[in-house]
Amino acid sequence: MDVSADSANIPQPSRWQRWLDTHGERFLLYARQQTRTEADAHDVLQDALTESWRKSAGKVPDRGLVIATIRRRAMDLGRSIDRRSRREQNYSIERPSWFVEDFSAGDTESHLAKAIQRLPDHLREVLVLRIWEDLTFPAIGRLIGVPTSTASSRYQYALGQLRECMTELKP
Amino acid sequence: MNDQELEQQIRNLRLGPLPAELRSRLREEPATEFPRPRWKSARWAMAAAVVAAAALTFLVSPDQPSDEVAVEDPISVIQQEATLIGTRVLETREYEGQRWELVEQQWRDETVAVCSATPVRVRSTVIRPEAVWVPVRFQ
Repeated sequence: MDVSADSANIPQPSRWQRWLDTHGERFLLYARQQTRTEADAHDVLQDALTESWRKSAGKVPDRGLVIATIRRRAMDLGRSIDRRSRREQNYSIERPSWFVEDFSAGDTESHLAKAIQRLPDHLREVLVLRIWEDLTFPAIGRLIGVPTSTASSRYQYALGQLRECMTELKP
Repeated sequence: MNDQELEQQIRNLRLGPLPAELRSRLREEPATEFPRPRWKSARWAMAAAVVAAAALTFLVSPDQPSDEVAVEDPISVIQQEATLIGTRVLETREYEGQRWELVEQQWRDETVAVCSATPVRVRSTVIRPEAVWVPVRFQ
C-alpha cells in the first residue's frame, strides 16, 4: 500500500480550521464569561472570530485583539436586548459544563469546575484571562478597564474563594 | 493548598470542545479584508480625475472649429480651498510588515462662486470627514 499517496489525498485543514482547533475552546470559555446564555456565547463568538479574521489582512489574528472583540461584541449584545426580560427568561436555564468531566480524577476536579462556574462574574473573568489566556495583570487591567492592582486583587479573591470551596470538600 | 498548587489544579481542568453546532457554523473561512490602498481613496480618485481632465483639455486640438455653440456657464467658482482641521486615529493594523493607521480626517471645504446672470456671490463651507489608511512612519 502506498502510504504517501493515501496521505496526500487526505484534505489538510485550512489555516482557519487550525486556528479554531488551537484557540477555539479558550475563546468560547471567555465568550461564556461575557454572556448570559449559551446561545448568546455562540453568537458572540461566531461574530467576533469572523470579524477578527476578516480584519487580520491575511494573517492569524492577535489573541488579545480577539479577546477584546469578544468583549465588545458581548457588550453590544447586552445593550441591544431588554435586560430585564432577558434576566427573567434565562435565570432558570441551566448552562452546560465548561469543562470535560474526568471521572478518574475523582470529585476534586468536578467540584473545582463547578466552583469556577459559580464565581462572581468580575472575579471569574480575571481568572479566565489569567489562567487560560495567559494575560498579565497590566494587560487584563487594560482590557477590562481597571487598574492593575484591581485585576491582581480580583485574581487573589477568586483563588481565595476556590480554596475555600476545596477546603469544604476535604473531610 | 498554596496558590501554585491551586493554579496547577485549575490548569489541569480540560476545556470542553466547541459544540458541533457552533463548529458547523464556523466551517467556512471568512473572507479577509485588506486595508484599502491610499490610491483608492475618494480624494486620490478626485485628484486623478482632475489630472485626466486637464490632460484631455491639453491634448484635444483647439484648431478644429466646432459647429456647436458654446454655452457659458453662468456660475463660476472663483475660489475653492480644502483645509485639514483635525485628525483622529480610529484603528491601527499591520499589513505586510507595515503598520497602518485608519485616520479620520476632518476637512473644511470652502468654495466661493459668483453667478454672472444675477449679481450673487455665494460662499459655502462644508465640514467633510474622510477616512484614509496611512502608513505609520517612526522617526
